[in-house]
Amino acid sequence: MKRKLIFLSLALLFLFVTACSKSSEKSKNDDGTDEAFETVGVNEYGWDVPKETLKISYYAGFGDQAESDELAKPMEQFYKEKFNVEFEKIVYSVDMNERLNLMLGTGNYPEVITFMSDDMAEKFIQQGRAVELTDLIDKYAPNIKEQLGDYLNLMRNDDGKIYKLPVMWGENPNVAGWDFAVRYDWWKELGEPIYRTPEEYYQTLKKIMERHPVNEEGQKVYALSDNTQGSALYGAMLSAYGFKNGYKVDEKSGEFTHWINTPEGLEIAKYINRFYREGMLDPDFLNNKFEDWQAKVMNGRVIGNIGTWWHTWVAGQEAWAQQEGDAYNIEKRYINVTVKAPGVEQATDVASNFIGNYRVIITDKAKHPDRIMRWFNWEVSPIGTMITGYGVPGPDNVWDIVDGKWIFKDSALEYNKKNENFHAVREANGAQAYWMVTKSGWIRDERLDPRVTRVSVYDMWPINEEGDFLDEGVNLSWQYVDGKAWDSTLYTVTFKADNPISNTNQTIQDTLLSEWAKIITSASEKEAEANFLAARDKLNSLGLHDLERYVADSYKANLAKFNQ
Amino acid sequence: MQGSAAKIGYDYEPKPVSKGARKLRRLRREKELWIIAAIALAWVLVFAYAPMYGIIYSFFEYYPGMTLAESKFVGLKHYKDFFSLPDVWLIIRNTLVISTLGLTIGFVSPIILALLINEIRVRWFKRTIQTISYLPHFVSWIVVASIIFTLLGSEGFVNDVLLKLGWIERPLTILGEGSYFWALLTSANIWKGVGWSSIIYISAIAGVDQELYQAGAVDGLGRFGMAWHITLPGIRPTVLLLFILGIGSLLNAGFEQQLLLGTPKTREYHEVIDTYVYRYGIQMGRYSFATAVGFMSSVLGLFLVLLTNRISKKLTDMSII
Amino acid sequence: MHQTYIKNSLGGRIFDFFNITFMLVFAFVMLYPFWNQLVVSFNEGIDTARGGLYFWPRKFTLDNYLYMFNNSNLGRGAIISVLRVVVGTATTLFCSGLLAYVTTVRWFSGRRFLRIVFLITLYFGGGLVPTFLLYSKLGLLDTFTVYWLPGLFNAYYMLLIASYMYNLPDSLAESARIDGCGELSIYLRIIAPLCAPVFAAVAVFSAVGHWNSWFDVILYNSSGKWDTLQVYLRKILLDVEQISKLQNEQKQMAEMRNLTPLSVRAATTMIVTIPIIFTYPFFQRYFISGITIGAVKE
Repeated sequence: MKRKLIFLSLALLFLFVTACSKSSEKSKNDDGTDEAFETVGVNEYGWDVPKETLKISYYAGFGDQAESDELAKPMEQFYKEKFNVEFEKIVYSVDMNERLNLMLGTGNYPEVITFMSDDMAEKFIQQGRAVELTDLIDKYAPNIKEQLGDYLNLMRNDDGKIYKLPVMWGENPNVAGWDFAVRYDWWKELGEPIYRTPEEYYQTLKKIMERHPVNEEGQKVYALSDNTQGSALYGAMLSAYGFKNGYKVDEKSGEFTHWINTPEGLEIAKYINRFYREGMLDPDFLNNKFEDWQAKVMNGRVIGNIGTWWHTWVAGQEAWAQQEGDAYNIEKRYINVTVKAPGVEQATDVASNFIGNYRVIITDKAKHPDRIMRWFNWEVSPIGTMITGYGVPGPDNVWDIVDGKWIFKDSALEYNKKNENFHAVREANGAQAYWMVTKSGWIRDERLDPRVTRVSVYDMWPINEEGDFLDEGVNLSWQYVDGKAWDSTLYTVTFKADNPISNTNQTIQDTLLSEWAKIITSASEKEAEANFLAARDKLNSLGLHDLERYVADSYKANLAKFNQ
Repeated sequence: MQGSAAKIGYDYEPKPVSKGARKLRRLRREKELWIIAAIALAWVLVFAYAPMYGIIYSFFEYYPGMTLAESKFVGLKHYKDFFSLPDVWLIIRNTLVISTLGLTIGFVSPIILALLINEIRVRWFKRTIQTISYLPHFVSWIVVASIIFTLLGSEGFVNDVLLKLGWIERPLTILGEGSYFWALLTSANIWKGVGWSSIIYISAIAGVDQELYQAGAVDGLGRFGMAWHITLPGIRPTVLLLFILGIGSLLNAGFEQQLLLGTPKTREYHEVIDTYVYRYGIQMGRYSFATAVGFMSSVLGLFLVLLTNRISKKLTDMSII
Repeated sequence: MHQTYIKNSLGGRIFDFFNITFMLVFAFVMLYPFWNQLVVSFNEGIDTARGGLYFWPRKFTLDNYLYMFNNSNLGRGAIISVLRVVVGTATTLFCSGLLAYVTTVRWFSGRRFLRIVFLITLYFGGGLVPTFLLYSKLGLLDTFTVYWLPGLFNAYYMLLIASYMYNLPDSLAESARIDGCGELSIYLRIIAPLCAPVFAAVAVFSAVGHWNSWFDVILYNSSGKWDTLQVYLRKILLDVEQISKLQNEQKQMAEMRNLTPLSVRAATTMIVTIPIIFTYPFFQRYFISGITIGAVKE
């Protein structure tokens, strides 16, 4: 007995001591200007080359270190030779948030952390691990101020100080967001009846389904399927009704109403439910993972899609092109169409969030934050963005700098060989190997090759002189897309962990998903309506009105910050 | 022969001695054992008990990187928060049902399998079946889920057969019915785990003294009699041990399976404590909350283990400690 | 086995018939998912995406395996894996078994205490961050030692082995003790050999555990120097989960395009599992054959 007591007390003492001493040292850094930063002159790419090699280490998120180093070799060499800059890009094969927790716990992290969620950035800032950037930006990063404009204000905390910057920001690089897709070849058979409202879409799908009840192997064909557990169905529908992030916004009163509390919500529910009841919706739509859905699409069993535009793109035409090779018929594809409910001014299918969801911070481990800021300044310049996104300019790569103009290689413009000639080649030349703060939005510059449009670090779309896409297939797919983006930046809401509203938000999201599933699988329209109203009551009792107010307040706060 | 509570000491030393001297003598005799024990204790102190200070953080608003002094003390707030989450009783119900199914059907199946395998007379067949039986253990849940969908989906094998036989007119949405979920999950768990779990029982069966069977044969026991009167009692310590330990996991009803097999329509039935805490604790960055719930489950688990152990000691005179 | 002692009655024969039928159906049900993965691993990726593969590959290819073997570090990973399995299993078996033995010596006054101390560790832990910090302080990060040292005395295995040791008669150890044998040698020379079946089972669990573990490798040995085979293969599988977490649509689309096909993931499963299937019979013979304890008469 005595032995046990001794052991127990020792253990408790041990626990107590270890708990109390668990702290990670915070480092001091010198955040003033560094007079000793000498440069030897601006190089051909606009970078003021330092005398002493500038070394920056940064954590970039998820990845395999060996693979990442391998892919970065061309850029490594390029930056060393022409810029006298060396990067140590650190990646781990662990979930980034978990790793960041450990970094905080051990006090062991590099000078810069990028591609982190806003939430994690806030945690680092709260613990004083992030360097204040306000003065640094003023002194060394005029490009950032210029490019971000008023959006930079959204990065300020309550004291007006800036501790984080966005990464993967910018004006929307997509053409389409939510959409109402349809199989082009089947739709052509009907004489290309263009549809502009949800009701017309339904009619079109119905007609096509009558003509194509089964595919070549005798399997049933469905008008719609899904791989998002039903959420894409209401997401896209809401965009057709002009809802913003699922809320109806009354601009005058500033009131946000969640869609479940609106009459349009009921319309949407009945609309989708009709697909289900008439057997036009794949009965397994709630079970499909992306790969299951992709299999159905590839086998020609899905006529249309109410959801995200690139899903049908990747699972449809890209997969068929790859599979059928030279025998591929360009008309076997999906077209994306913007659909608007009657009476709606503008559909909100393409959302453009200027500041994106990811952040970059300079940590207190940085020895010379000012030098890092200088680098940031260069990275956000148009030429910097091009080099970050496309790799080393040169004859081997997809682009080169010819007479001061940024020209793309002809082979890279061949759409049907895009993967080989464009994506693969630029990857081999270090594209996106090092990326700390660059935007993923559209690059606009007079030096850009006039033969392409919508150029971003992710993609570029070749066009002809009339401004149409060079590739016929792309033209076919996008001829009916409005492509008008709405600025969703100020509508982003942050949910902090210690705020009880985050719980409410999560609960409502979860409950909404299961209620929605119940609603749209109802056996009759009456039942669907009843389920909808029941869901409305349930969600309101869970605190939906509080959430609506919180979202409205967030918007107002963002607006105030933006207009500072 | 079992680990009874009585201490069997050496009793060929009738001289009365003082308590202290007796203790000293015992220590000397047990010296070697104590040396080994000390090493083990030192190891467990460092590797198992030292990190347990993490539990303290569940009483604070703690976040990794902060010191204890910097974190606000909140006492039982996180524990209370758990019970004030909406649907909390629903998820506790689901957790208990799923674990109970696992502790009953799921517990007995490997034993039965082991006994059946044991009855196979042809050696190569026995070894082959045994090897095949554990293969599902190595197939990831993602693949299992996709196979289940292929089987039970509206166009799946089962529906196909039923439609052809004319037993149903429209395909059954087995995967969409919440009430089927528990049966589905338990079946999937058994499918995946029965072979692997039976390994320990097969090895336990191998440890039953062969002479007992000889004696049984002499007494006129048939095959079933052998299994019932000799094999089963022979593996009783292992069975009891695994059962008692299993009870401690009553609040861990799986995680990956629910995420993969569950759909929005089955949420009422598939949401369990672990999935809930993952979304409301870990994903939202609420470290202390997640720690608190984990601690609660552990306390309850250990309590159940000790309780069941005591019952077992009373009923069968066997205890795991 | 005990069957040799009795003649088979009619009832027994009927039972055998049903048992074998059951076993065949059972074997099919157990084998099918694994077989399906094997089939998928030998099928062309883009063809697999169309679904509908059941018993035989439709477009046979070795590409999926070649894709893996292209990685030159695979060999090194395999060696480290094997090393980890051997060292890890041997040490755990020895130490946990020894601990189990100590707790079954009936007159040992500390045995209950030991068992409770270890039992508690089965249910309580500190969590990821405190453990990580501990290993960091102990200098275990980026070493081979982290693979086996934290697993030396495994409470679960200890309890399993101890439950088995209960069935051994006390006289075995007692007579050795009277002869002057030390506890350690009693364990090694007398008790352990008699526990062959349970040791074999625990060895299987431990070996498979070590062979399959990847999370601790990625977490504690993040530099990649001590990567095991599983880690190389796991990194391929982790793609899928990461993509679903992405919040940037463009990035998601780009990653989705490059997603490792189902067929490569299936090949991964095969490469990891097949070695286990081939080494399993080695352990199997210990618990299929059975032992006779009675040989040591009281």
